[in-house]
Amino acid sequence: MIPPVLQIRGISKKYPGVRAAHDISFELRSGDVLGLVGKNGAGKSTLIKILGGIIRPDAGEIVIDGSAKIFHNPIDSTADGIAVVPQEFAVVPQLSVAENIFLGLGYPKLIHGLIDATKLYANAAAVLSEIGVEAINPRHEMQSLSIADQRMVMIARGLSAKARVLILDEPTASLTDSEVKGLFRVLRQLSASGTAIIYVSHRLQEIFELTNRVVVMRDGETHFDGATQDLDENTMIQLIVGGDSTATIGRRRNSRKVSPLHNEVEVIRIENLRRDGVVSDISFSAKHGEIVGFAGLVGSGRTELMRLIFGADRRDNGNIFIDGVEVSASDPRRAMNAGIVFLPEDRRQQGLVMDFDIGKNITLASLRNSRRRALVPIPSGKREAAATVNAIRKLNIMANGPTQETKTLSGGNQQKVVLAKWLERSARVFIFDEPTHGVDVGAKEEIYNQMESLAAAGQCVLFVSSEFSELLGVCHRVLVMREGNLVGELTGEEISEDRMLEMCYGANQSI
Amino acid sequence: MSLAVFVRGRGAAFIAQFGLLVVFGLLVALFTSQSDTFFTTDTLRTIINIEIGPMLIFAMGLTIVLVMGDFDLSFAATGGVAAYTIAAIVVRFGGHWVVGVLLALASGVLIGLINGYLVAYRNTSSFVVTLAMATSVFGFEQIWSGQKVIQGVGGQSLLNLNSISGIWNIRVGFFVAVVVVVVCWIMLEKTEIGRFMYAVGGNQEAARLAGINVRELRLLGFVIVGFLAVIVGTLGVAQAGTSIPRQFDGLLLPSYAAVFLGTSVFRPGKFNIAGTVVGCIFLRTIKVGLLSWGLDTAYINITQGVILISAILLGKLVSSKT
Repeated sequence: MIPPVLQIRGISKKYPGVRAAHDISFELRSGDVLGLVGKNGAGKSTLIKILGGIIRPDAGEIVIDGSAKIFHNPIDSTADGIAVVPQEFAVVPQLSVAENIFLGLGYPKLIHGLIDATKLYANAAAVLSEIGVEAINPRHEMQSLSIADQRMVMIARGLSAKARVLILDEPTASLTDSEVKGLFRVLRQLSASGTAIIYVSHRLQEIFELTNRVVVMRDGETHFDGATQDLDENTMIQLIVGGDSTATIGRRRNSRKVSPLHNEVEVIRIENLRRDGVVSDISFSAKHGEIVGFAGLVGSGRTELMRLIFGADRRDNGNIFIDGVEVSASDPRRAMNAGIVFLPEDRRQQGLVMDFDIGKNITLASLRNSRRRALVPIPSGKREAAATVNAIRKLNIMANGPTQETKTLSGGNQQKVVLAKWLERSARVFIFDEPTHGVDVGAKEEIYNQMESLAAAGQCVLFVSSEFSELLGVCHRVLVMREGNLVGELTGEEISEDRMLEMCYGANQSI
Repeated sequence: MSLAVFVRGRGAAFIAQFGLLVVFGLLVALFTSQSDTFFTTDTLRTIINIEIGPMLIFAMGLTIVLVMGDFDLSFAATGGVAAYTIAAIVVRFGGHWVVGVLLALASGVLIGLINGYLVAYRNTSSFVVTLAMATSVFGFEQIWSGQKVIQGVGGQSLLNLNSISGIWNIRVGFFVAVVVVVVCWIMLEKTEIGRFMYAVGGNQEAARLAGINVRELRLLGFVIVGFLAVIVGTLGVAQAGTSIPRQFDGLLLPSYAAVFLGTSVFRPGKFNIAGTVVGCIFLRTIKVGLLSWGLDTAYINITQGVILISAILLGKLVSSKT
């Protein structure tokens, strides 16, 4: 019997505090189309990176055509017939399609060593027509192509690398329906000619339409490996969510201890907010003392929506009202003056000035308050130090004092510094975008407490999180987003992890 | 104890902060031992009266834009065109020097505004924009001046910048430089604007999301550079009584050298006013010292280049160990 094209045997990978992949095993035969599904953080990306030679596993082996391989880098993995089409492209936009296809695979050369352009374009045209996209001109610049066509070129690249296994990570993100159809046609053709395909997607309909096998991952482990036809959508969602999603109790809040709202006064109202291609016509409002959660999968547009509300990105349409007053322009300063503050998702890139000490970071957005005299823009060192010491105590920041370098703090304490920066301003609406990401248990609890006390003081909190259990734990109401749209709303006792996930995946709905 | 061991050990922090000052002390000692004329008040007065002022003022503006992560390569050209403008108004048109200075200030600010607009509001590379600006400004100067020297501006009347003050026979122009340094130091280190400028340089996106008007500050940086360049031009005319085409081109790279040297003192790896001042004094003293040995300027250039590269490398070495 012919050995499988690819066998994954007992692959494990640990990061500090996280078991990203644990004892993953499955195999792929020629022509298989395998759907790899699981929620955010289930371990899919880790597995793909291991297969692509980007990271090395702690344990386990990868076997191709019966012989075990060790990938030191992406070149090894390509040489052994694995081609990865990543979610974020690795293309050179200024080079031509043909140059991108054969980049690193070796360009055809003339006798004197120069590139044989005629042959290069001919070869590229041949590969492109092999996957049925003759319409793409190999001489065009990569950046002039649509996202869908760029993906086709990446597939062509995999093919010309003689890929036995083609891995596609969320390939239909930002593709139109007809482009998806085109992609599927190409994939079916490849599978018929013997290429094995691993197809990673959050869109379950696509998994059912395209794949013959499914592997479900959860918390770094495989929880299902079998024929796609043996599953229905609800079973698959159950497998993705997990029978006991409360298994990690202690790290998260699972019981609802949310105090009821007493005040029906609206604080923020969003009308038809839109940014083309990212967020489409979203309207909602939130009340005095309310914590509103935003659930969704990665790429569903939650962060983008928050950035629009804060004015970090320009909006194409829509109105924002705070306490009934319109916030006119897309500009963080105006948003702040109107009473909106925003804790960004990426604290290192967007939240902190790493060269600054803790004190300067904490007072950055409210430096005016530390003036010696109201009209002279010179901050008083004493007042700044006082504000900082106060914040350090209030949020239990583990630091020696206001002059400690921010970069020497742990992730959780850095996040508290960002939080302290915003608490120094008296705002009406606090946007928290993944505030507990990469943060230790104690700091998480501290962040939840701060959100709750803001709400208790009558402010309004918008809370974006990919850990649905924490949304369950602190939110009065949860809005669910999918592909740039608001697709569901859960209030009070309706809120459950299962319901949120069903809505994220669009279960029991026709699309 | 080898240098490497020392660098890794307790000496690292000391070298990082004060290494340049130690080297400076050693060099002064060396110059003194080798030349009878070096360690005298005359030398000090030469440095103060002639050498240091223009570089110090250029370097202040430069420090401010570099703090925010931008480059400006146009200040020497701006200073030159300012000097020419003043000289031409006074000598060719018989105008009052005040008119000349005001016109020069207007053009310096305008150059800064154009640089700042293109860089901060149009997202272009500051390196390229200011290089292009320097080239065009020099072109204008060529057309207007016909590349001729203008003499007889009458240094004494020109705000008395070149006159000898009662204090230790130091020229008034030096005190202008001191005032510029103090004002820039207060602005960067003590005011909200300065704090925000450092924040922009540290993390532009975080600064923007903290409500700081990043564009306005970057624009302001270029305007300050343009304004200060005109002050240098004015001092130059006052000092020499002449305007020479491309008068300050020779100060462009030394000013950068001074600012980068300055990152190796006080706050290792970071641009700061005090460091820039030390960098200027260091470079100018070396120049005077080497001249007192009778060395050609070619060797002075080479020495300054080697010193700058060594200082930067040592800074890297030290910071990677701490």
